[in-house]
Amino acid sequence: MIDDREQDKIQAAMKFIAVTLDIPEGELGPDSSMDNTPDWDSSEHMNICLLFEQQFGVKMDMDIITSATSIRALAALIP
Amino acid sequence: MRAILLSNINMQPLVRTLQPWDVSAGTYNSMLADLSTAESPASAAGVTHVLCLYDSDTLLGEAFYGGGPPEQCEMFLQALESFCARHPDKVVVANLLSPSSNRWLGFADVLHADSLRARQADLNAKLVAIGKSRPNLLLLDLDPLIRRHGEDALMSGAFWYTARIRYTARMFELLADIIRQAINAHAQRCKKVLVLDLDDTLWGGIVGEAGPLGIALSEDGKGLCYRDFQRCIKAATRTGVLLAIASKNNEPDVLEVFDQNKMMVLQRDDFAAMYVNWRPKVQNIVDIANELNLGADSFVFIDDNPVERDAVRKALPEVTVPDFPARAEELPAWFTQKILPAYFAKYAISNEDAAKTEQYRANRARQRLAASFDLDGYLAELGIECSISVNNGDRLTRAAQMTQKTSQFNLTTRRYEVTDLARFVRSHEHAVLMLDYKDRFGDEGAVALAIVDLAEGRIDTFLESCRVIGRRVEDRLLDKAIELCRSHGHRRIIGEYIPTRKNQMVAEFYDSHGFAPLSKYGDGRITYEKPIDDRRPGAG
Repeated sequence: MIDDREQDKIQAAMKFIAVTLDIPEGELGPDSSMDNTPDWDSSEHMNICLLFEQQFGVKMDMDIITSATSIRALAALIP
Repeated sequence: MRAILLSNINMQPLVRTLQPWDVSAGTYNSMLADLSTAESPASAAGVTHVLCLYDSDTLLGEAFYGGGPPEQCEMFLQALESFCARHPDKVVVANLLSPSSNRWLGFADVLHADSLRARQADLNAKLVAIGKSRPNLLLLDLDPLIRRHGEDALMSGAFWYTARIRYTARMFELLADIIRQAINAHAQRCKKVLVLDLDDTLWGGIVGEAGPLGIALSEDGKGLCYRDFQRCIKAATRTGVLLAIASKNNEPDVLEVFDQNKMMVLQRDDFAAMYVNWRPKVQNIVDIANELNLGADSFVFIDDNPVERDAVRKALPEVTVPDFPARAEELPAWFTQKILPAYFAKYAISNEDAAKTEQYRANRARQRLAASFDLDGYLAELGIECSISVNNGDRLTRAAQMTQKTSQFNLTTRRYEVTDLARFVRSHEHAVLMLDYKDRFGDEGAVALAIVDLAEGRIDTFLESCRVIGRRVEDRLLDKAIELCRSHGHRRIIGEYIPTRKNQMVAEFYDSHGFAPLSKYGDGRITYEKPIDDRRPGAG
């Protein structure tokens, strides 16, 4: 069962990706990722990680940068 | 403008922070090739700005680790110079070499032959030499920025080893800001006039209350915040910033600060225009613009009072009105880090810039002469009315209070209780003189006090409130004291000055009022005398 807090984090991650990629939030879902989102390419992924680090205060390490390529993975990092 | 961004690392995120500018990034690590090749995207006709923001550690290559000479650096210098020469119509922005703090030599980096510090100085000297001969080259020193915010906050190993991105999101924002400011500075797009308030802006406190020596302005504590702030502003005048004053004050009070307060860094001559009066500041700013013959859109207005700032913002939207720091200790850094780069940044300072204030000041002197401003005229315009009461028993509380509270314009600083004054009045050997003041702006009440020893013909106490200093009110009180002594049969009047830490402003009061020194004492006390025999010609 997904609790409310987890749901909030997924919402926050979706909103953040929509703003960063400059696409409507409606085009994203909890299962959106680099693989199924055309604008989310490897170059944009670096912007996403840079801005995610800044906005959510999460220190990104190399493993996170290479693995956090989906809404769910990013949401799980939100403190 | 159309810009292209070249580098030897991945600087793609800067394209985002430089928006809305039209910037495209060259291909990864294409800087050297793009600068050297005639057909490169950077050479294209429509490109107005070429941003060469390289990573210094990478450019140094193996030399960064002590592994040989920095060959890439030399190639870059040549390519940069020839590109600037081939494209004099394009502005080329390049950072100075600023290696990261990781020094393989550690402490030995100071003395060693392969010292990075020496390497950096050498290459930067070459860059500066190119910069001096190529006016289209805009060199950018990133060191102050990195020092201010810190490498740990600006650089990231994770992004570097994942994607050859050296910096954090914060650094990309800061880089975009500094590049915008530098390009504006190079294009000479800057403001011209800094309009300043005085009280709680150039010094701490209200001069009308604290007096010219009572304001916070000193070499320590809070006063030093303001003194350093003045030093920063003074430095700005050396780059061509014109200063003007728009202050709600009595002008004589302010002129006294310039004349008497040795802690003032800024002098009268540093101001191209000075408007000290009680009119709305908006009106004064308009007049400053007219006097200097400059548009108010080239003005920046600095005032601690949010009400004044708001009024100027509303009435004169073309004037730039930044917010003011909440604490005095923030003033110097705020001015140097925020105000100067944002509004007064210049890339090259000319001799004319340095002499600009002088030029405007000369114009002002002429205009002032034409308007023939003088203190007499000013005082006449104030419509001053004084009345002097002698031994008024109802007002001794106020009189005692004045002896307790007045420290600056106070010749002897003798503190009296009401009971002392009552005894004086009863004895008929002393006269307590109180001067009441009003002018067309309002009634100030009792502002000056003298206590005269009628038995000796001696002025025991002579003081004046700082609110009315500079209006020659004290002369009337002195005349009254002389008149009383004369009517008691004295042919001379004795004055006295007892120096304190606070009353040096009146050290020469008696000298300048026709008194001659009588005796000087070891503690600094001086007695004076003045002949007041009206039967003698020229006396009194």
